[in-house]
Amino acid sequence: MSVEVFANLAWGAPVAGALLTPLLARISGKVRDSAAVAACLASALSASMLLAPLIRGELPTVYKHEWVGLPGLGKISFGILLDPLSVILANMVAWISTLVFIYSLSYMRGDPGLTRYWFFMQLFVGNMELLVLSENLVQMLVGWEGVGLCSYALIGYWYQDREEDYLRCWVGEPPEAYPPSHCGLKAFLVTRFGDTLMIAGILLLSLTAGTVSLTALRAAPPTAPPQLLLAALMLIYAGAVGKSAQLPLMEWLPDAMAGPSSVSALIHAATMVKAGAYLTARLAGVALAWSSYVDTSLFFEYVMWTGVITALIASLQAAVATELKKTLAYSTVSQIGYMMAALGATAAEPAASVAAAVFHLLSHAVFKASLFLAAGAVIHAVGSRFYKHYGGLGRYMRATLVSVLLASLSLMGVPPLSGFWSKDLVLSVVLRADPAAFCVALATAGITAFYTVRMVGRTFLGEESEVVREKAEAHEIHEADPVMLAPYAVLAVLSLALGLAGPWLEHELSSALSLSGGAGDPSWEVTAASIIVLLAGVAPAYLLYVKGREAPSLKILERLRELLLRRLYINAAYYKLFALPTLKLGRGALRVEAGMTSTLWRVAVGSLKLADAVRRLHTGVLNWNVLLWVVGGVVLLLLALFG
Amino acid sequence: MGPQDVLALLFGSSLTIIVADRLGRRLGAARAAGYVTVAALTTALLMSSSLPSGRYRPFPATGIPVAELRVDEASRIFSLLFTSLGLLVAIYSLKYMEGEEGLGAYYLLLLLMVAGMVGVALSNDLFTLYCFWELMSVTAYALVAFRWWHWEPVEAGLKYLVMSTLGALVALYAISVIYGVAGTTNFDELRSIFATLGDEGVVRLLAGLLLFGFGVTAAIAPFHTWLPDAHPAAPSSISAMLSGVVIKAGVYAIARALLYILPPTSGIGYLLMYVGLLTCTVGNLAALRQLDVKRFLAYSSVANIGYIMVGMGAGYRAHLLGLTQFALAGVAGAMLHVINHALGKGLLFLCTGSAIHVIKSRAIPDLEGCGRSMRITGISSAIGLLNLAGIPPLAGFWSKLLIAYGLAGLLWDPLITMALIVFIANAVLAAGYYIYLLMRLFRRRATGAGEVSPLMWGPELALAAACLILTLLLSHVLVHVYTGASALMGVVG
Repeated sequence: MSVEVFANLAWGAPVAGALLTPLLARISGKVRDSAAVAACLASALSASMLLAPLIRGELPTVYKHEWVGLPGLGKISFGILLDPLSVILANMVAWISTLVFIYSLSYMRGDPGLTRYWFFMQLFVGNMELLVLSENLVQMLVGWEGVGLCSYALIGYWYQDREEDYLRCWVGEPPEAYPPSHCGLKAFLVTRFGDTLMIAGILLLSLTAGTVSLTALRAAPPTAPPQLLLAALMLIYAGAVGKSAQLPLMEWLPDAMAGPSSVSALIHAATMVKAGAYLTARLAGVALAWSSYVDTSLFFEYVMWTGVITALIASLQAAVATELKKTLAYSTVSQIGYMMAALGATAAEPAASVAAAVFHLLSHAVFKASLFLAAGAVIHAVGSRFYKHYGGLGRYMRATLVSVLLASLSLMGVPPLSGFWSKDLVLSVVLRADPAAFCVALATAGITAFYTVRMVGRTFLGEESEVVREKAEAHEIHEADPVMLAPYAVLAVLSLALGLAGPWLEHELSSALSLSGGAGDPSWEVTAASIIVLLAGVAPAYLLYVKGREAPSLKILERLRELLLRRLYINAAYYKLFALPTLKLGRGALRVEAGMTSTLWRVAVGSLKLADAVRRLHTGVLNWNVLLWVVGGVVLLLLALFG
Repeated sequence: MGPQDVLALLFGSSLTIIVADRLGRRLGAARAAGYVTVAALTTALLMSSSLPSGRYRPFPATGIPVAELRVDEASRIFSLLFTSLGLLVAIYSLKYMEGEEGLGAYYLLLLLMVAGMVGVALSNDLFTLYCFWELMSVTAYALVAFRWWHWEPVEAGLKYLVMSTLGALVALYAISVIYGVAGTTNFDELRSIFATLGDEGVVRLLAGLLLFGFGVTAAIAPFHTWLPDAHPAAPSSISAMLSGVVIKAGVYAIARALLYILPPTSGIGYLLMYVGLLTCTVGNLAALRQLDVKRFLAYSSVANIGYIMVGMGAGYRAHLLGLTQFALAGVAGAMLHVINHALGKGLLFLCTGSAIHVIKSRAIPDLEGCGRSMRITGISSAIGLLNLAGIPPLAGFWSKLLIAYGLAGLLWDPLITMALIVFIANAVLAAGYYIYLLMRLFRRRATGAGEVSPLMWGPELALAAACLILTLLLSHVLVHVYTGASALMGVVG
């Protein structure tokens, strides 16, 4: 079979699986569940087959088919782009999905809405694969909106919004506590905001550049006004900002934690939120190719600075979060900020920037998926999402603790785990572009270490909470069952393995993804600095949350904590500025619409009356018919002769 | 192999049917005549799919300049459409008409009707065209009144006979005027003679007369009044033929006469367009209140002829102004809509035939829920309805889009802007009532009516699949349709 068949299978198999799910559900739940896992595995195996041409060095390849060519209206084509970036991402998405699917078999067992769950999970994988494999921006947009839809449906999966599920699947604390369906809607609307700008950007690009093909765009700068091209780039980047939850569109991701943990792991940590980074990597390549013609430095500066500032703010918010999954969510936002920062440094460091971002993307996907899945197991065991109900869980869940420790060390960037190598590469790339940005990113690394230790400490170590003690006495807390444990343990070990292969992987990625031909290496100063900052972050967290020391009560720290807990008031401001006025507008529009409906009703009644009149003309009496024929014919001839 | 062989095959097999019917009845094989028809139409379909383009003289020795045949992309598309729908209807009839009186006559008439239509599409002079036209019409009257022991078909058939004969007389008159003016009836000779004639009055008169004459069979308003009686009264298989292809033969004759033979003249484009708009408005409005499902479909056929005329009118007008791109788009849209409507409406009449066969009623309220209980018929009819409603990405959407695109090319003209608005309003109205019918067919729970025999749902499924394939292979279909449009107009696209 040709490579193209596998590429199409990679996205086609899960989509077909999704469509079959409602049918298979009629046979039995078991068949439906195993078919879903099988479809995902098929996608993963097909994606692996794409690695062969990558290793043989036959990439990039483009497969293109024209679907409709309307004379004068342009062409609509379907294309697959296989290059190192898309193949690596396709594999990452499919394999992590497979593990999450296996985890779901146990985690979601007995849920009444499983047909819906599997349908959207498979549709998600298919659309994500379509997104990364697409050759043109319009086709990519199909996958892009597809994953957005699935994300919406899966965040709001427990759409009943029951009060008694408050501890399990709501998000936040009053006054910012939201039920799942609200969170799904919020995620959809916020990302749609970015998407709308992105669609405008794609339109602008196709109007000015005359093409939306990624290969064609990169091949040569189009002959169009440079300002318009730059505007198109920035608009498309807005889509990435929304999807990857960067400032100022980051507010949806923390609330997306209302979905099942498997969904959080797959969609809101490992894959979908990386779509923005993927798109930015593509845009960075395009922008670099255009740099002789268009002044793209504004674009790169913007990308880098949004990245580092988002990384810093999100890491601070992670450090005060009161829920386990929220810490992880903010941490995800922060880590994607790193990837964006690296991509923003492309102009200064074209050799290693994309490699740094992709390497960090890979290692983050692995350890964060592991952490989220483990968090799901913890919530499963304790029945609460809050830290205040945890503590000392390591005693009851040993294997989970080991796995979480491994993944956490990777998140902190402890050598020789994968997170260490990738963060190092990101930092050194940023340093070469802008020392000031580097300082911010470095500080973020320290805070990352702090909140990671806090998370592990408050959950697994430290003193047991009341809830844990009661549950332990009732023998209700126990290790996750093997079907759940295996996926996150495998991911944790994988994170170690990727770390051991780190230098080699770094070199390979650099040579495969380099935009300039050479390959960059991190410098030892960066390594030293990051290790020092790491220790500076670990020490206070260890004392506070593992050893149980009292925190010094400083007024300014209290203020800062309050500010961060209230999400810097950005969330509240958005509600005040956008959500409430929109609702008000909606109520007004409803009144207008009611008026219009009655008008339309009158139109409908009128056309029915007209229909009756027309019907009455059709008497069916032959004499009248012939008369009408004669009269009509005469009129027609007169019109033909003198009209 | 030429077009004369296809026609010879069709006429030859019609003799065989008589023998087969007699022998079959004696030996207890009541379907013998049907099988012969199916075999003949299959062979004709295979033969006509590979006809090489060109002009053919079946009787070279006589030297008379009549009886010339032609094959080009347009006539190939039309004749393929005629034979393939005829074949599917013949297969459907094997079961549907089982046990009726006079099956030998039925198949003989069906085959001769197909032969007449194929002849219309393949002839290259007006006189030959007229002969085949009459063959098609006479067999059609007989088929409408096939169940002569009922009162309704006889009345409908008589009405059809009177109206259509009046139309044919006018057409014959127009042809005689043409012969008087030009001294020939050959298409290509006429084209070059009229191009240099310089007498606009004669051209306008002839265009009007031909539209008047052929327009009755094509069912353009206000000459359409026979159709809502004739199509429901005929057996459903024949309704599928009438609504699917017979009225398209009228469209073909109008297109050939006005677009190919006569030179473009100002005013005629508007006339075609506005006649088309009148037709679709009347058809759509009248369909809105029908409770008889076959009458409903019959009126919607009138409306669809209207769309086709609008596309042709837009093409005509654009051609006159020298805007070849839009001229081709309009005519190609009209041709694509001919194909869509032939497949879609043929499909819907076959499906309603099956439903009526089971439920024994033509009233829409009685048919509620049969979309669920008759699975294959239900799904096929859903595809047909969605296709005709013009729901993207089905082919029915693209044909209307192309017609609208042809109109949009002339948008600076206020008359055309108005036409475009009316056209779109009609398309929306039609989409509304197709979806309404779809909803009613599927709204209720299953009624317990079972699925019909495979011989009946097979052709339905084939037509539904054809609608989908048309969509999937749209780019290839568009190439053919555009070539057909340029052949019809005699321009190079």
